[in-house]
Amino acid sequence: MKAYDLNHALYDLHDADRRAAFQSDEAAYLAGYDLGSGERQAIRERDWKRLHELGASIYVLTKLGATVGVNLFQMGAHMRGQSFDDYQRFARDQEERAAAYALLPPPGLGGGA
Amino acid sequence: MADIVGGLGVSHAPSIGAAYDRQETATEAWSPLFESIRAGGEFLKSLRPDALVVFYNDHMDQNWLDNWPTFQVGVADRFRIADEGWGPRAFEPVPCHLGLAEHIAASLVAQEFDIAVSREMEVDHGIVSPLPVLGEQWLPIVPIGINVVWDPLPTPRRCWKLGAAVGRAIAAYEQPLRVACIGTGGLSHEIDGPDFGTIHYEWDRRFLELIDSEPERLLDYSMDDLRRLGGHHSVEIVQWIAMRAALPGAVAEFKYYYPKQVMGYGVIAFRSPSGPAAGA
Repeated sequence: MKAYDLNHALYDLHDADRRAAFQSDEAAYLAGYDLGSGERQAIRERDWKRLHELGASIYVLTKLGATVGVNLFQMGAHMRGQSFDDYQRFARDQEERAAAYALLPPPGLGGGA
Repeated sequence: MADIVGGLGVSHAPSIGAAYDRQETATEAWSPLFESIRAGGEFLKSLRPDALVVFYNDHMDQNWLDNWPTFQVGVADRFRIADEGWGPRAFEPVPCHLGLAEHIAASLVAQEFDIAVSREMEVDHGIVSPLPVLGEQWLPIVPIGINVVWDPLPTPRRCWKLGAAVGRAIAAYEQPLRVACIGTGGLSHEIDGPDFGTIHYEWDRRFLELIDSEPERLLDYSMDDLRRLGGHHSVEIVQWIAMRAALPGAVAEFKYYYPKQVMGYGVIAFRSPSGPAAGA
């Protein structure tokens, strides 16, 4: 299957010991998986856009992100081909447009903090 | 005999768990969401359920591709909290209602649903992000997983049929049990690729209308249709469709919607005809 091993290598980072292994020697960790050179390069370069195009699920990419300290929004900006500032501007503008569609409980309902 | 007293649709997301754990639920950004979910929790409390049947999906935290289930019922004493990469969140394992879980699993197979039965499983943010916001005390659950993560996906119509079969199973359970059904996930979001972060708020509002008053109209959509309408990962709304199918005759008491960051967060509350009346 396309990208099975790529997904497997990143899925295994759900395990704390495997995350530690990745963090201490990334190349050695990846040597344990049958990856193509393009897949290895994309992981090495934190090329989220390329990893997505290669078939890595976002649900394993977030495990890689957790391992290397990159959050979903940083990943997403990269996949959009935007700087993080430009992405945040997009998200803010969208929230402003969407706000008119909100349906919220009356104040006081649901308890507050 | 068991009664289905009502149901709830509620979004799930790591962001809900993160804001909860960082104690940011009262911030300007997040309080509209948390008040909406807490309203769902108050509603749930008014139903006085003994157990929760939860339609949700795993996000490659419990299941791996060597054996990826289309439909999965958890039948165990309890479910540990999964490590999604940041370490497991600090909650006790979620207890299972073992008797009801055994019964639902057996009933679904008898009704010709070839489910996977997991005698050991972990639960991820699909269950654990909304659950502590809905109520601090864990109620025993029966987790029912519907694959929306890895193709091939079941059709929305099949998910509706599963939910209806679960509803029949609960109604046939020979214990005086009050059961609420929850569907978690959605609404619109697309969290990878060039359209990352797009919220389809017009469709979300339309969906909230349809799931309330004309849910069967949703069954003519394919999963690809839903992906086009609400973004790739919005197909999680079939968890709401399954929940809705388990509640024939139910009426929505309220629905809330909060579009924020990368998704439309939704809450909808259904009271069953057999459930306690509002304010009872």
